[in-house]
Amino acid sequence: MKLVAINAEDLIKLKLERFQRQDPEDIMAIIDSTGFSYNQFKGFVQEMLPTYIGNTNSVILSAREVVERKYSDCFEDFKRFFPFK
Amino acid sequence: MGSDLFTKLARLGVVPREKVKNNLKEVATLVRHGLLKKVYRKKRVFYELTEASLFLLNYFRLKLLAEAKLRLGLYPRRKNFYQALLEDVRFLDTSKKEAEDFLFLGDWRLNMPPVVSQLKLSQLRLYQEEGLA
Repeated sequence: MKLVAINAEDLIKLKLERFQRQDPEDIMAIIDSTGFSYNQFKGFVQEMLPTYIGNTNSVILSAREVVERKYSDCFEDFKRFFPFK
Repeated sequence: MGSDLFTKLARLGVVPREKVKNNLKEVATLVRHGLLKKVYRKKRVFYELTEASLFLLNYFRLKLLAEAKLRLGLYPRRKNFYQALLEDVRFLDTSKKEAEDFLFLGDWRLNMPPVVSQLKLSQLRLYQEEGLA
């Protein structure tokens, strides 16, 4: 039997795409347990946007909510970096 | 102003004009106070809650939380539904008719105060569903 586990970074990306019900809390719990910095989180969002199929504004707003709650000091920087189109 | 209008507004953070056509006086009051804004999207009119309404949305969230706790005590047979709503929404059965009563900004997340991005995401999702985004 082969077990394949998804890593924390990919799990955050998957949850950012769906972002419903428990997803925001799960993302914040993953950030707490892994200690991902704001710049790491910003990097995850930057990586996922070019290949995202669908309305990127939706992912940007989901990610903004995480930043607003978790890295509130960096919220303005995040908004500048990922403008709402 | 009755809370009926705000109940409609808090579900998705935005409503099409036709859903509030009987409350246009109250709508005008909210617009005057900067809590609501009129938005045109492909020849349709919507009313969106603004960032300034976040404190009201938070009061409304607390009201829903209290209502869920009350119902948990009153209806032991519905324990699974209300416990999920209060503790872990991943187990919430949203096909139950009570689920609609607790819809808040397009979701059932009652344990966190609302933030600007959450409000905007909920509004965007309605426009996406209507093919207007």
